[in-house]
Amino acid sequence: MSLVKTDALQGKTTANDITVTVGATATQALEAGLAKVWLNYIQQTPAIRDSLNVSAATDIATGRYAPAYVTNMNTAIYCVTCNSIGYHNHIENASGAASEASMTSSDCDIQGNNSANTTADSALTCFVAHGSLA
Amino acid sequence: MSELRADTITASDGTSPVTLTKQSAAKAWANFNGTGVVAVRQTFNQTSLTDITTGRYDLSFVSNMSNADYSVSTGGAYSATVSGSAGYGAAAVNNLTTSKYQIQTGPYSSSPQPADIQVVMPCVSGDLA
Repeated sequence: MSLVKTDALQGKTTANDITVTVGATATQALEAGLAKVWLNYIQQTPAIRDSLNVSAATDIATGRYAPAYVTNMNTAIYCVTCNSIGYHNHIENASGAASEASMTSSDCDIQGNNSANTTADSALTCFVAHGSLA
Repeated sequence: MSELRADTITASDGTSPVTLTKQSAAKAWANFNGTGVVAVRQTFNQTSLTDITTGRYDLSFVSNMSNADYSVSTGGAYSATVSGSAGYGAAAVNNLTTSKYQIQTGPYSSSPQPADIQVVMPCVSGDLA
């Protein structure tokens, strides 16, 4: 097995475009598959436990928070997935972007609802964004 | 600091997948409008979107997965402008195949029913064929 060690990897022709073999024959653009933002957040405190590319998480209201990005996305249209663990560590909360308009290139307003369909702070909520950075 | 510049990276045999130490990239993701006439807004490795019925959508891959046991996480936005919460996920285990998967969505409630929501955002992790 050969091993290449480097601290930085950049496309030769286009800086963010590197094609990688990822299946038996399939290739993909490396940049497109990498998560650009993720967050592990205690909403009830609130407190950030760990994150990637998050400058701050704003507590907007009960059940709602907005992670802001260090490096912005290149558009307001990207892929956000998130989940929540509710009170007493039960997986009873649903969370997602509060609305289409709440997603911008610099942050995303997330809303969590409990099993009674009421906005509620979660014990733990996780957020991931895929897309391209500006 | 060392820096490597290349347009294409493959394993040393010239064909096999590259191993990225302690990292695995998503193999597909999408952002599409789930209400009215469904419309793709942004995608990666998704070739088509089919509106099956209320709150259910099929998405096909450009490059197929190596098996049907991959991971699908889905997010969403309930409405264009009004704040709300929605539930979403794979419609059923047998709706995950190597070439496509089916998502079901609906507003979050104690007795959820399938319904179209404004924005649906699935993300797939696993191995490509």
